[in-house]
Amino acid sequence: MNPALLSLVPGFPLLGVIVIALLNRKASRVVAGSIATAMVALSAVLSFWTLFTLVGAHGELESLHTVLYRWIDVGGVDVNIAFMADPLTAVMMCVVTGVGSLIHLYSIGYMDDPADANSTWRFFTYLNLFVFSMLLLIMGDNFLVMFVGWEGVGLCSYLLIGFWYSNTEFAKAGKKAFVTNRVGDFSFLLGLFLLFWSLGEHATLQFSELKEVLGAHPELVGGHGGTLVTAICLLLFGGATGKSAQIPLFVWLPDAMAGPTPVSALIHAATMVTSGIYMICRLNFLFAMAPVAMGAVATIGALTAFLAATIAVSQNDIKKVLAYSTVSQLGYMFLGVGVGAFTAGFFHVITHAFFKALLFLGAGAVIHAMHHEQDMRHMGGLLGKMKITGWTMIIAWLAIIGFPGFSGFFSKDEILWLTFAADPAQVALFGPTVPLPKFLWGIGFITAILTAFYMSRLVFMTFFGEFRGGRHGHGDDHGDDGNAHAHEPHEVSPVMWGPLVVLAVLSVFGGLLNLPHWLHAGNLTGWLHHFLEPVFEDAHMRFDAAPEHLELRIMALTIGVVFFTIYAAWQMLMKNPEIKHQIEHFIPDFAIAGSINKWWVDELYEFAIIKPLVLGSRQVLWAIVDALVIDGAVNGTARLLSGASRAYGQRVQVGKVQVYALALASGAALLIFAFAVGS
Amino acid sequence: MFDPGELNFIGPEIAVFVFALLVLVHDVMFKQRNATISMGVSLMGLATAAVLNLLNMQAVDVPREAFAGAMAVDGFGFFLNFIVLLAAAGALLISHDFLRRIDVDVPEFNPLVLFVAFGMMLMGSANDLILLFISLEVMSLGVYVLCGINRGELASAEAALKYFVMGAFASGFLLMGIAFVYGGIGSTRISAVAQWFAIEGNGIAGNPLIGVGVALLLVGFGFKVAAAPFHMWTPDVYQGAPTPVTAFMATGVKAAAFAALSRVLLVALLGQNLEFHTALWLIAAGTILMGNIGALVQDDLKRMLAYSSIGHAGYLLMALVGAPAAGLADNPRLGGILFYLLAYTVMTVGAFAVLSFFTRDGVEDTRISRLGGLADRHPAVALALSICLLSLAGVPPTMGFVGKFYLFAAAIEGGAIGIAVVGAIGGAIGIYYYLRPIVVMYMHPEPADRVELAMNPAALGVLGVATVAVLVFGLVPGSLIEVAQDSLLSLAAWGGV
Repeated sequence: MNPALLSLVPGFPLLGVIVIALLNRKASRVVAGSIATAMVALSAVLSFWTLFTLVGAHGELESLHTVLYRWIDVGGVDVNIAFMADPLTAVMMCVVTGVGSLIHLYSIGYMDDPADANSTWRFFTYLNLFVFSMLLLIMGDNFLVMFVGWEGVGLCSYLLIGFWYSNTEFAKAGKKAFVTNRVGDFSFLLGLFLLFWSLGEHATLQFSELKEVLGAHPELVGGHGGTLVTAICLLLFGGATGKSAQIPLFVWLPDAMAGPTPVSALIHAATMVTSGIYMICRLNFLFAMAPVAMGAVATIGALTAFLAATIAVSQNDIKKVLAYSTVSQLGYMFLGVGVGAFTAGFFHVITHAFFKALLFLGAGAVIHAMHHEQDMRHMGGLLGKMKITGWTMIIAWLAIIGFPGFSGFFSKDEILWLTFAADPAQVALFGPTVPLPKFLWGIGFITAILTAFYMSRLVFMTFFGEFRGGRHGHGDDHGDDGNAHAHEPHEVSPVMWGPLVVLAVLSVFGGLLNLPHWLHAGNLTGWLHHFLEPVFEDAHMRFDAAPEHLELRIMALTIGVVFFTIYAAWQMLMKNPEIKHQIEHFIPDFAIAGSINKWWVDELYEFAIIKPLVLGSRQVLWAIVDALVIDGAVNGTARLLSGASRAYGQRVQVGKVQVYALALASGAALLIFAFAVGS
Repeated sequence: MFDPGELNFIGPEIAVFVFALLVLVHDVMFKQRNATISMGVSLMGLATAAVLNLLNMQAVDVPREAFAGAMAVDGFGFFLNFIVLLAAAGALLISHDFLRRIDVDVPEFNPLVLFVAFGMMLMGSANDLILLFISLEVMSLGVYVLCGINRGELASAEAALKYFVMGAFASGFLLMGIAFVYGGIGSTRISAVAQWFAIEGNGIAGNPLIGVGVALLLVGFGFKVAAAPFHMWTPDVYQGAPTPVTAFMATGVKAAAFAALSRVLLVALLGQNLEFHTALWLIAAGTILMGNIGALVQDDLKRMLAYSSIGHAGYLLMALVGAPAAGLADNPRLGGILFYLLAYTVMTVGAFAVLSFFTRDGVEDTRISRLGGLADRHPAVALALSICLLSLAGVPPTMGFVGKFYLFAAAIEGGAIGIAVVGAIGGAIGIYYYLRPIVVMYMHPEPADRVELAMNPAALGVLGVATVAVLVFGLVPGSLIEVAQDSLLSLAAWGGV
């Protein structure tokens, strides 16, 4: 493959943005949607071509690289708009464009509300813009292109969450996402500046050069375990907590469910939120130098996984459950990369993209069929009415809880096992000897149980039991045509269930990408691991070479507990609600209230950060600093200048040639004096 | 001695001249002259010149003299030729419908524009001060006439007369300066002056004759590029002249005069003493501030653009202050001067194309308030004008930003931090008055006595091309910057330093 073709991968979605934006209202839902889908599909074709080129090279070819044009060349900084595709990028490209094109296709069916007819072009413009930004983020060969994409996905996320901006709540959710992300971006930028500054005369923004520089001069960032490299990594990770919704910046993701459901599937499950993990994977050689930062990544990941799972168990909004589940699963990914299992973390990115996109699209189909009903208490028994959606959702459910054989099983299990086996010295948040990995494994294990519970709850409440719908909400106007069956949920159109089926297949078989060694699957064993090896080989991560049977035992334990949890959930929720009350009896009240109220994190931020900030801004910064000092200075300067301008125009520039000639002659006299007499 | 092959080097000039004669003959011979044919032939002349210029550019690798040293054949001259040809084409296209509307039906307009372009192109390549002076006069005389081409209009006549009187005055200074330099050095050859200065012990200091000569040269050029305090004619003349002529003056005349000034400064006077540097510093600072402050309260867009063009001359002078004494190669960012001249030409022609739409009953009306509601009526035109204005203000991602960036970089790398600060202040002031028309277009209602815009395909084409170019070269300036830098560095071949 000609590397120059790489530019076309982000090029197609950008073309889509331009074409649809120019057509704007003239493009109907189907036209705009078809263009947008086709563009992403073309990118997908090129992405797979890229991937197969790299696979076919059998390690002969490290990466494809192309320079579109030189962007900035100032001082010591030479930045190109350049794209790179190494194995890591290529796999990510395929996930983004592959899952992306399925979701685009699905959206054509989903966005059929007549109220949106005039704005679907906007929707598809944003969607394509998002894919474009995401591709910049993953394909950029340097920090600056990556950062443009990094900001671009944040912007698109804001635009799409607030897509129905006439609803104030939704618009606020968009704002919240944007501001929260900006906090993370600020940290990311600081990390970037610190890194750039520390490199001194070796300063570079290009990833491959950075790797070489750090390989040759590790002392520039303080060497292995140095304070400087730890600070850089922690700041960069701060950016990742914003994009990838980790503690403390995860609060925006649940609110982001205000956007249309395909957006939740594309941005807030499959792609954008994984950019933090992608960034750490890309910079694995840097993070590997900072065991303390790695420990922080793993710990934050595990804690987030646990915290989000505890919230998810009590939510009734189907999208909220999935949102917290996403936060939780992202936590797993950070746990994986944090303990140094980069491949395992990234593997989970891929499988999660499959089954979480499927879950969201399935939920979207349910919501669509239920006329914007999102409360699971008003669902139930939908399996009979929506066979395809129901069965694909069940597949996704089995995948996410780690049912043996499904994709999520392999990726999650690898993360948990490698966490257990990680060398404490490379996760040295509390020192190199503290057995932090074992402890984190414990959290991950409990979270797996919670995951099994809340996902089972979601599936049981939605698809099994009795249909509890028929609530007359805002869907009323649909029923005025006298059609008694207007509210009866029914299967969605093929353009919507088609992507569901494809994703379901991927959710089942995604595990083939990286089969564990104990399956003795020949070439397929650890395929992803081998493919990504050139990217991660310099990180030199160490794992306990524990005997195989220990790994199998831990896995068996997890499987057993998960099975039991499903059974318990079935008993509790479907068979015998009495048990549920009895169990709730055992759980402390504050824990239940905490779960329902999302541990009051939003309230805490409101009280501890936002209130003081607003108050301080309004009373001090606005009233005194801005209104008096800054405005005073600005207005004063403006008044002075316009006064000078007016005086000049009226006194000097009067239109008389004599005055002009006088000025010219005086100037000449001064110059002559300066040159002849003065010298 | 004379080598006929050297005629190749003035191929573009000859082409423009011959086509000017053709147009003139055509326009005079036929009573009912066909304006379209006249325009077509004129544009063909410019295109032919551009092609010849491109061929020359590729043929000449090493700068060389021609016509017994009167002319310098180098990249600098080629680059300027392109700017001049672009400016002339823009002015012609804008004028096509405009002249009909203001009821000026004169056959000499197009030939005059071509003759002026002929003079401008020679100016950029003149290696002899005498040739420089003559080509400058060829240009100036044509422009005086063009300014007053709308004889029925008082403002136009006033502009022509003021420009002529002041121009003649300034030309006297220039010619006197040449005489003094000749008196001091014994040659009018710019490269010879450079070689003389290069000799140990020779300099402005201790040679009052040469000092006076240089000062007078600065006055003459300062007038043409509208540098303070020789700038005062600019607002009146720019406002009074018909819009296409103003566009041509603001771009072509400024570029040619600035090129001549740069050649004299960068080839002959590079590395001269402190007084010289200080004088240039003061002129640049004064020009930046006068231009930008003067523009602040203007209610007429054309007059505002006149002041703004003074400010832009200031930014260019600012870069010259950063010219290194040790040789041009020390500061390649100076190539920004050529890039900026091109950028300024493109965005200014674009803005003037929009201005040319504002006529009512044959009279121009370019008050800013007339722009009210333009964004609703003609969103594309409003957007294009906004882009051109933002580029003039130096907002990324436009050509104006890139150009300005390089001018500042040139000044700072040359150690002229102080003047860069003044430039930044001027730029900040500039944002205000460039944004004002945009605010009016997008936020103010239409004036009650609205007039339909006299849009026409030719001027719209100019606007479209200019807007696209401003954006494209703002996003992808790389190769153009490199050409500009190489072109400017070709001057180093002449330096005595």
